[in-house]
Amino acid sequence: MDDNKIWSLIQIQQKNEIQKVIECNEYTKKYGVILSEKDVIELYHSRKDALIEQERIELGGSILPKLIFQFCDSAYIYQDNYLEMLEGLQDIFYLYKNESLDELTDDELLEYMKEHFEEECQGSLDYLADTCLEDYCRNLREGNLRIHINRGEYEDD
Amino acid sequence: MTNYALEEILPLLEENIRKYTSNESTSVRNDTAKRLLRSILYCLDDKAFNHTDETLNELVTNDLNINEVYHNALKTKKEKIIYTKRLYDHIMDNFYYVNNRCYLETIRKGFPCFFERYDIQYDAENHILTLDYPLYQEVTGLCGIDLIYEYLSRIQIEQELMSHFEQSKVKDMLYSFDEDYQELIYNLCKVVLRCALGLSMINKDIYKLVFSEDDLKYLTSILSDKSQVELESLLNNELERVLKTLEIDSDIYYQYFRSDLHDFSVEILNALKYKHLEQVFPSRIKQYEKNISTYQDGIQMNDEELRKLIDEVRECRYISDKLSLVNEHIHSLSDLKELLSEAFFTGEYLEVFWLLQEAELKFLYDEISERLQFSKELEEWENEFILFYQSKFNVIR
Repeated sequence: MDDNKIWSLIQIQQKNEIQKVIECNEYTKKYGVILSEKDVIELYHSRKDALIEQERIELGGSILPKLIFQFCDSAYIYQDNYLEMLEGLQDIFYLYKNESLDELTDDELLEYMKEHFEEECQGSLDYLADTCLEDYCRNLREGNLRIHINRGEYEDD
Repeated sequence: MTNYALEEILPLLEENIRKYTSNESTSVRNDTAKRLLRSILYCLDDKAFNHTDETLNELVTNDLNINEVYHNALKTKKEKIIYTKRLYDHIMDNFYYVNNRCYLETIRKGFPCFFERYDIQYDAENHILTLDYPLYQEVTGLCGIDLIYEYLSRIQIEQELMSHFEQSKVKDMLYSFDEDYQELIYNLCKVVLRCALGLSMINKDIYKLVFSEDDLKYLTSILSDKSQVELESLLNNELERVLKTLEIDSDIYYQYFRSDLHDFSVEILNALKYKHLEQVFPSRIKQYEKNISTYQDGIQMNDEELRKLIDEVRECRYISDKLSLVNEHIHSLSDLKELLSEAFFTGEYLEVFWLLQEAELKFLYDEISERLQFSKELEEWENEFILFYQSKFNVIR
């Protein structure tokens, strides 16, 4: 498969998606955070880099709108660090999709990230990536975790 | 390969990724995406997809979009899986038993696993099996269900030929070629046909599958002055005669079996040159049946281990998993009998019987027959075993 060709095709799709992400501002502005078109384009560039680095392909819509809805009300995110945080969270998201061997659905991973980002990480992306998710995905790979998909609960065996 | 542009295929890929992840993930790994894309291309592949005239016309006039073409092609492939399974069942119903490990394991054990696990939509090129048993004429350039169908079609042709020969004669002949014939990896049909061709050349009964010393001398005398081309042409004629004798003289059989004649002629010439024709045509016959080793039971498991294994086997969803556990843990017929009573159910027994060696089958048959004389009550698997053994070895009640 010619990866470059696929990426150029995916970029065509992105034009529509950029509009969708900008529309998220309607919802997020009540939390005091919005993205300009330039920010969204930057986010899509970093998304492309993250996907290439993690050797993943995303078709039919990106994770960004979900990421925005999940994190826009965070106590640790405000307008000045909004773009930077979304970029970081996006990178972490794709990394740990791989690290969890795709055992976690998008919603499960985002839910876990949000919960720990707010609580023990206190807004630290490094702590979230290098400690919480690292431990969690290692346990998952070793089969020490039961995922209660319907209830969104995670328990150690 | 298909003539479709990537732009046309991308929406199909998108749809399949969505289905593959149950709409729960927007992204997949590159290798997964490549696998899904290859599965789409596999279905769309012109060589394999049988376009009807109507479909072709619609394609030409652009009335049919790629989405419809793909879904039609996928449907065709799914139908192909169904009739490949029917072909396999037919082969199994008339299975020609020869106690060769590679032959039995590839055909008896491998294929059920294929039909359980093959995934045309998301992993179409992966045919799961390694197909270790070599065919008379190997299949090249195919994969997935196309390969499996072609492989089984050829097995069917070979089985048809072998079925005309008595099993005991085939066993004797294979055994006289090599005492370890049960463990060797070679095409059984090729050995049988070559032997029949040799006998046909000297106008002997092709069904006896054995050469006397005089036969070999005579064969040497008529072949020694032949060039390779002459020999190949002679073999061609003999092949026609043999197939006519066996009443399978349609063009399919002839085309299939003639593919080996060139190699065979070269081997015969070599054998003549180095004076070891008996290595091409079997002349020393050792009675196979006399050489079956006396069965000795292996080490039994203790009660606790056996109980645990029985529970484990009962919990298995697929018969192939049950058989793997039997292979891995059972070393004694006593344990196996316990397991057959407790953990296997109607329709599964036959698969277990196929795992057994000939000496084990004979031992078990003698034991059950002996019991049958004293008591009329047999367990379900025992009744099935008696029928299995009698049909396999043509035992008359």
